[in-house]
Parts: sequence; structure tokens; C-alpha cells
Amino acid sequence: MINKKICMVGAFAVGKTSLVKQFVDSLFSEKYHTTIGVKIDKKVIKHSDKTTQLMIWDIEGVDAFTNLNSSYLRGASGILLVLDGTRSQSLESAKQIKGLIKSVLGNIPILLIINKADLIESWQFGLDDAKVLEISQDNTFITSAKTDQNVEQAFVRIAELMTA
Amino acid sequence: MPGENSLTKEKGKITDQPDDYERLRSLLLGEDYEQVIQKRLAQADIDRVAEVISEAFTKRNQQDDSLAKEISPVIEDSINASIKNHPERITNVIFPIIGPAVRKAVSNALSDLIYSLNHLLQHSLSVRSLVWRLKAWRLGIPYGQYVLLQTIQYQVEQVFLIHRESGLLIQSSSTKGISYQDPDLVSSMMTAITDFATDSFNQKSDSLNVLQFGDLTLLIETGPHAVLAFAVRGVLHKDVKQHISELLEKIHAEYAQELGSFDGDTSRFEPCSEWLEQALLRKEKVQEKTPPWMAIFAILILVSIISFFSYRNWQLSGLINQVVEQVNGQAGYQVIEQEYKNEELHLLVLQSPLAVSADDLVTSLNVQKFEVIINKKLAALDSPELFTAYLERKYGGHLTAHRKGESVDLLVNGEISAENLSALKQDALVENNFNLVLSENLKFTQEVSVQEKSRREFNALVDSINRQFFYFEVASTKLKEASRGKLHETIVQLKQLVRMQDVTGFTIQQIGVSGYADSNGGRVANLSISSDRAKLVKSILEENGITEELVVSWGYGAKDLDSVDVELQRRAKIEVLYIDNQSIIYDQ
Repeated sequence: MINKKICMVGAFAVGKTSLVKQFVDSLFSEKYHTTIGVKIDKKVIKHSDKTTQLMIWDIEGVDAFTNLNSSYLRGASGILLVLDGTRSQSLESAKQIKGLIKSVLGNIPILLIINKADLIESWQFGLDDAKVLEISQDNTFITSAKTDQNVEQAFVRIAELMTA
Repeated sequence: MPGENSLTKEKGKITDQPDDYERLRSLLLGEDYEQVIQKRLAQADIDRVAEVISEAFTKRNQQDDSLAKEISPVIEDSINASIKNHPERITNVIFPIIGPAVRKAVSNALSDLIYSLNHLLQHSLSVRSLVWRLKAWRLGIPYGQYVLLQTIQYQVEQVFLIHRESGLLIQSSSTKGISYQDPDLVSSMMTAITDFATDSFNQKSDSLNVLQFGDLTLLIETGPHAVLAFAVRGVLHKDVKQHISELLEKIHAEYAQELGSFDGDTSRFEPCSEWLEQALLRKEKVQEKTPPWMAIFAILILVSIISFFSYRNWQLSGLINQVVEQVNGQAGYQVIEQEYKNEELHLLVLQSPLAVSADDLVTSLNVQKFEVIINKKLAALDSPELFTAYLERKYGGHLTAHRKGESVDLLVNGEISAENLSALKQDALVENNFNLVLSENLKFTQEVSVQEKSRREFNALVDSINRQFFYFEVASTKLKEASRGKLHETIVQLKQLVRMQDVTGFTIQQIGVSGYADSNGGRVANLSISSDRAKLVKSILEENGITEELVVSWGYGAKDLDSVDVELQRRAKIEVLYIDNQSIIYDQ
């Protein structure tokens, strides 16, 4: 079994913690809890013929007052860059974050997650707008932590990318 | 012998080309020769094997243990057979071992019992344990775990080997029996906290060494590629600090390449989990060994309670006897039964019509501890004939009263035990009312076998004493050391004989001590020294309480044959002479 560290990054309140909660514990709550610092979870997944233990570092969201603490990224083998489709601000943050990841970790697998698919009618940007982040369609997932849409698939994908 | 010849011919045919010499030999000597050859060869084999057998055993034993395996069933069988055929021999062999072994086991078990009793009392009743229980309950941890916390100086509960860059757990180990968080999460979280602290306080050295939560200390040692963390309960001892540094260096030296290229595959580090297990160090607090006070205290209390009650009992029975004696002493009263229950002493008495009233007697007794209740049966106490029926019930036998003028004798016949007969003779009722107790045609029940037993014992003792010799130093009346010990044993036996006279019906008439001298020296001198030796033994017997009137001594001088060892000639011996006087007493 291979151990891998992955980081959930993105603007505040995009649903990073909810995605992890849904993926690890199959639970969802409407209540919003802000993450301070980092929260760590683990889950073992089986994909194709491999077994990977994911150590999921759920890092606090970036806002006007908080920058991404790059030391949390150290040693990560994969990144889930999470956006909130209902807030175009989260796309702006994502651009900055991606730059930081590039400088700290170099070329490692990054997945683009556009969350809150259950609220798709109030989305402020679409897949086309997200192309500025230069992440391929294969590595882009539209998810909903609430309805469990695409959540598992996204984590399996990152595991495949890391162990390929 | 045509048959034999044809046989040799047959043999000749079988071998390819029997040479003439051999044929001639077999014709001349025939089968006898073959047998002799076979015998000689077999004998030679035996001699050869006998010469090397022990060396062969030694050599084979060094090679492997097959010899032991082969021999052990044989030895088992022979032990079985030996036990079956001569059990007494095995008994004799193991007898000296069994006594000490049993004693040791018993004393060990006793001391264990005392200590575990003490432990139980201390841990369930002492104030300290109650406080601990309360604290454990408040902390929400099991009492056992709390006791462990209080009694260990330190214990490394968990060891984590963490990849420095990613915070991924490489290997971990933890003490059994204590519950922990998932080590993967702990190690990641610890890395996150370390990262956070390093960034927040701008510490370049990136070494957060110690994290403390209550009495749990997280000791962190950072290396170039890996971080080693010890979760230590209790005091942070220098041994632990030294061990963590050394272990981290060892791991880096051994796994430098694997650590450098770590990609999340922990299987390559499995061999080092043994090192991590060894790092689960533990040191217990040195506890002063105090005597088991609680157990001693409990036993003392028990002993004092028992002695208090037995003292009270003893006091009470003394008082009861006193009362019974007082009632018996009263003219016209005779106690025939007594019973004490519920603080009441019930006395069944025979009362003469002329005696004082029972109420007055009770008042005059003035007993405060319990109530005396007298149940009386009126009887003319000047007619002892009336008592025989009661006495028969009590002691057995057939009793009749014989009046001779003023005095009345009690005649005993029929079946009665010797014990009851002597009790009957001492009964207050009998002593007060009968002049003499006579026995006639008595048959002794039950006790016959007991008496026979003691008679046998008596005979055995006499034999043993009569067989004993006591040896002396050259030309002196000084007993040899070993003989002095023997003499003391003999004195004990003699005293026992004296005591047994009554029971056995034997009477010791004389204890004769004879002394002998060796053949060196003149006749007169030998007579004198042998007599002195006998006297010495006699005086030792008397000093030790053997009745003077029984003991006589003679000196015989030198009487032994020259062939007897001179050491054995200088001796004294004791002879017990006794008679069986049973018939004289009982068949009168």
C-alpha cells in the first residue's frame, strides 16, 4: 500500500471540508464551519489494481486576510484546487493559489474541482471561464458535496494521477 | 556325518571357486569351526564397542540430539518398570527431596497469600486508592490505567517514524493495552503543528522538540529525511532523550537511500519496526518495600478477636465448674447433669429432702454472669443403690451396690472401657457415696485395640533401647560424640516407656546398665573402668529424670573376643526388664 499526501486548497467557504467529509464519512451538513489551520483525514481507496492510502490535508481557505500557508503543502503528491461555482471570487483566488503551488511543489498533479453543482442555476462562471487555470478537461470535476456528485470520482482520479 | 558333509558341499557350490584349503578346513572342522569363528567375532565386536561406546555417545551428542531422542523412550520404560517393581527404592531416593520441596512450596504460597491479601487491602481500602479511584473517575479513564500512571516513572507509549517532507507515517509502534488515536493522523497532525509553529514564530531551525499535554510529552527528534517522535507518559528521562537521538541516527544510516527516495511506499521500512518496538522504554517508580502492615494488622485483629472469645469461654467454663463444685459441696445435693445455654446454667441435681431449698442455694451461690436454674429430683442420698442405674447409663457396664455394715461398695462387671472405668472411679457421686469400687469379670470394649497398639509400641521401644550401644573414648569414661546424642534419644524413649506403663499394663522392673572395657590393660583396671562407664550412663539417666530406684549398673571388664574391633569393645548398653501385670490387676 502506498501512502500519499494530498491537499485541499481554495478560497474560503468553497466546500473543501464538506467534500472531505462526504468522501471520508459520507456525511453532509448545511452548517458552515470555518477551518483554522489544517484538518487532516485519511481514507484508503482502491483504484484499478492499486490500493492507496490518502492523507487528506484540508487547508484553511484563502481570503483577504489569510494567505495560503505554503508549509502545509510540503511533501504533497497531489492537489485538489476547489472552486465555488456560485462565487467568481473563488476563481480569482484559485489563480493565485495555482501560482503558489507551482512555485512550491513544481509540476505535480492538480485537479480542478468546481463545487456546489446542486446550486448550478446560480453559478456565476462556467467551465470555459475556468480554462484560464490551464487544467485539462480530464482533470476538471464538477462536484456537489451535498448530493455526493462526482466526489469519489475526483479522489480516485487524483490517486490514479499520483500513482501512475 | 553324511548330512553335514553334503551341507558343506552345498555351501561350496554357492561360493564361486572354493579353494582347496578352505574345503579341507570345512571338512576337517565342519560347523563347529564356523560357530567358534562367529563367537570370536561377536566377542571382538563387544570388546571393541565397549571400548568406544562413551566416546561415541559424546561425539554423537555434539553433532545432533538424535541420541537423546532415541534413548528417552528406553529410559522412560526403565523408570516405569523400576517404579512398578521397586516403588520403595524410588520413595527412598525422592524422600529427602520431597520434604524440603513441599515446605518451600507451602512457605512460598503462604507468603504470596499474605502479600496478595495485603495488596488487595491496600488497593481496595486505603485512602490513597479511594482518592485514585475518584481521580480516575473524574478523568474518565479506567482505574488500572490511572494506577499505571501513578506507579511508572516514565513509559514510551508510542513511537512514530515520520517522513519529514510529507508528514506521512513510515512506521509506528505502540504499547499494548492502551488505546490510541490513529498513528497516521497523529503523525500528519504533528507535522502540521510543527510546520505551523515553525512558520508562525519564524524559527529557522525547524525543530520543535517537545510538546506537552498534561503528563504526556511528545518528544520530537528531526533528522535530514525523517522525524522520530516518542509519546512519553511521565517524567522525560535522559535515557529516553539519548535513545531517540541514537535511534534516529541508526535509521538514517541504515535507510539513507530509501528515505531519500521515499514515495509513500512504507513496506521497505518494515524491518525497522523491531527497533521501534525496542524503543518502547519503561521504568517503574522505585517503591519502598514496606512490611505488609495491612495484612499484619488484619491478622492481629483476627487473633485478638479469637483470643478474646476463647478467654471469655475459658473464664465461663471455669465459673461453671466452680458453681457445680459448690453445689456438689452442699450437703444433700448431687449434680448429675449440667447444661449451659443462653446465659443459663441448667443443673439436674439429686436433692435430699432434708437439704436446704434450691432457691436458697442459688441465692447463696451469688452468681452474676448467668442464671443458675436447678432442676431437682428428690432422692434419699443415704441410699447409694439408687445411683447405680444413672451411673450405668453414663459409663456403661453392670453396676451393683454391696452394703457391708455402714459402708457401701460399688461392684463393676460386664462390658466397660478402661477409660470409663477410671472416670467412674473419679466421679464425685461415686467418691461421696461408695466406700470402694470393685471390679469383677470385666470385659473391656473398644480400648482393647488401643491398648494392644500401645503394648506393641512399648515392645518396639524396648527392643530399640536394648539394641543400642554407647561407645567410649580410649581409656576414659568420656562418651563419644555420636553416642552422647544416641543416649539422649534413648532417654526420651525410656521416659516414654515409663509413661506408657499404665496404658499398656506393663511394669518396668529394672533398667540395667552394663559397661565393658577393651582387652588392653589389666583385669582389675578393666573391671574398674567398665564399672565407671556403666555408672556414668546410670548417672546421666538419673539426672534426666529416670527414677533412681529402677536403674542398676554393672561393669564386666573385657569380655569380648579378640576379633571384635577394640573401638566396639569400649561400650555400655541399657537393658529394660519389664513384666506384663495385666492379669494380676484385672483377673483378680
